[in-house]
Amino acid sequence: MRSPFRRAVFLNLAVLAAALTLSVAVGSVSIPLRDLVRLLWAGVRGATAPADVPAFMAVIVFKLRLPHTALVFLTGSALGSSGAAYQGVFRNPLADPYLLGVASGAGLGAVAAIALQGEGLTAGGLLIPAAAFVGALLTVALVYALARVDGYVPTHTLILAGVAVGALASAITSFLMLQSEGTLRRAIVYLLGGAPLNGWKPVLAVLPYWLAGETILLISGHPLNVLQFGEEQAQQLGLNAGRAKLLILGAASLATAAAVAFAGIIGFVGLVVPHIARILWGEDYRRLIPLSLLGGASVLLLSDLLARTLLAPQTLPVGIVTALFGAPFFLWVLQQAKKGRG
Amino acid sequence: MLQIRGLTASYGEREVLHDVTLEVERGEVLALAGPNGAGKSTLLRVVSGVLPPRRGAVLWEGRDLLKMTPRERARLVAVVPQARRLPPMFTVRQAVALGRTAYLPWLGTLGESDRAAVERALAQTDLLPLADRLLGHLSGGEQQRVLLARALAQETPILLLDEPTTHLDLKHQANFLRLVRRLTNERQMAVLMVVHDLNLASHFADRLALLAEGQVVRVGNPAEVLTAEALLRVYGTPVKIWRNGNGRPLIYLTPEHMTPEHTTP
Repeated sequence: MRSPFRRAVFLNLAVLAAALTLSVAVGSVSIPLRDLVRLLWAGVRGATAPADVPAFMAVIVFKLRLPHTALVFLTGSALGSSGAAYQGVFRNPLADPYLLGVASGAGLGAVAAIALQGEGLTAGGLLIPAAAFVGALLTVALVYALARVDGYVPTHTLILAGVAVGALASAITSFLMLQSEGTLRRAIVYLLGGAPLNGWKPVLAVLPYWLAGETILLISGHPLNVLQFGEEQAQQLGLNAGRAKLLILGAASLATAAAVAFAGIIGFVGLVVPHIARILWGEDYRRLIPLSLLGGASVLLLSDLLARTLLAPQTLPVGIVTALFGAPFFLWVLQQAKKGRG
Repeated sequence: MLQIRGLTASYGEREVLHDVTLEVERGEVLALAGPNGAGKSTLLRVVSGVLPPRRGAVLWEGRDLLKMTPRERARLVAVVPQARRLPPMFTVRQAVALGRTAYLPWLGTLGESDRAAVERALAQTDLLPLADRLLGHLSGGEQQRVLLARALAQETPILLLDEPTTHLDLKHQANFLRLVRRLTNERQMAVLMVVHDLNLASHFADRLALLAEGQVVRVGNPAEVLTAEALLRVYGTPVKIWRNGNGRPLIYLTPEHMTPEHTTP
């Protein structure tokens, strides 16, 4: 039982390493692999860049590509793992931060913070993920309350509640943006899941949220397993089900907030990745969470790569790319769910 | 001894249990019977701590189960629910191992004694050959056995079963009940079981409690409880009873009971 999991982790790490490398190396200016390795090695040692590598390459790698890649990694991994956790708590394979409306709620929080602060990244930089977290928590609580029927959450009410609450949050977000002139233009760009802001600041601003959320999610596999039998049985098996759910939803919302705060609203990663992981490696959440974390990061890094290169020099919002492969997948899952019932 | 004392419980305004008092000894099976909506399953929910009662207590050797944390309680009470909506992608062994939750740390890492308890439960329920199968690939009877194994892995002195044989065919009903009986004796558990089928209750239980509208109407051995008069009162329909002298009466409806003139008075 142990070794298939190790193989899965190894495979995911290998894909992730490739995706990370491509993400740093490929772009409007491609960095030869050899130069990239030497630059990174020099950076790790704290030495100056090798003399034969053009200076602008060092700038591109350290000031642009690395922080961008790091942010995409944090975002993708947070979406994948929080998607798995939401699916586990709601006991519904269609739950994900996007369909639950949680991402929209977090986006509303982020935009509201910008509107209040005026300036996106200076004084208010730390406030954005905090506000996104509050938005995410409020949304998930509201959707859960609306969708719950007799102690469990059926697919149709979940989607209806998620879409409705998400649409409301998006509408308020749009209103806030229309009310503003200059500062929120940037908000529009990144809420589309488009070009994330540059530099290391956003990475550092979301890192604490990511770390806190992911730590809790990674150790919550067992309670999530118990919850798969329903809240009542979980309680009878000795789990304080209410408290466990609250903790896991809180952690998933921390991770979602980290993902949305600077990368915008990106759909379907949190749905597709855990689903594939479940098909390939089973339903044990102690494995599903870490595998969804790694897989989510790889999928988003590769989607982001496509978004940057497909119509180069133009950059597509990455949300468009994930929707292009995610929406058909979503329909397929829905089809399977229908078959399962009939 | 399990002592249920003066339990009153309600869903919102609607009272579903009224002043229920029952006792179950170690090594004894008490069957709960009664019409739909009598409060049988609700009683199990209260005793297992998922529905807080309005009044009353559930004592095990003097300690009130309802004042314990879920973790403490799950070391004393195990529940075999009806096999519905089980997560299809869990293996049998994984599902049975969740019975150890009350003994495990948050991470759920199984220790030596936990593994031993899981294997023992799998062996006792003849599930070892199926241990690595997925729940979604099992028959209803097999799934029900998995839930029994999970409860056994909890190693509790109290076992609650909620209509465990409803969806089983005759052979599996017989096997399942024989197994519960054997384990009750071996482990000296106090067993409280909701049974829909009165004849099963009659032949399987040591004692029987007849519930109606949230109250205990009668409690005692099957011969005492299963009388035509009591059943007419509780179920509102006349039945025939065949007593063959072994203390376990057989209840049946004759064709004339099902003609229009004999419907509910």
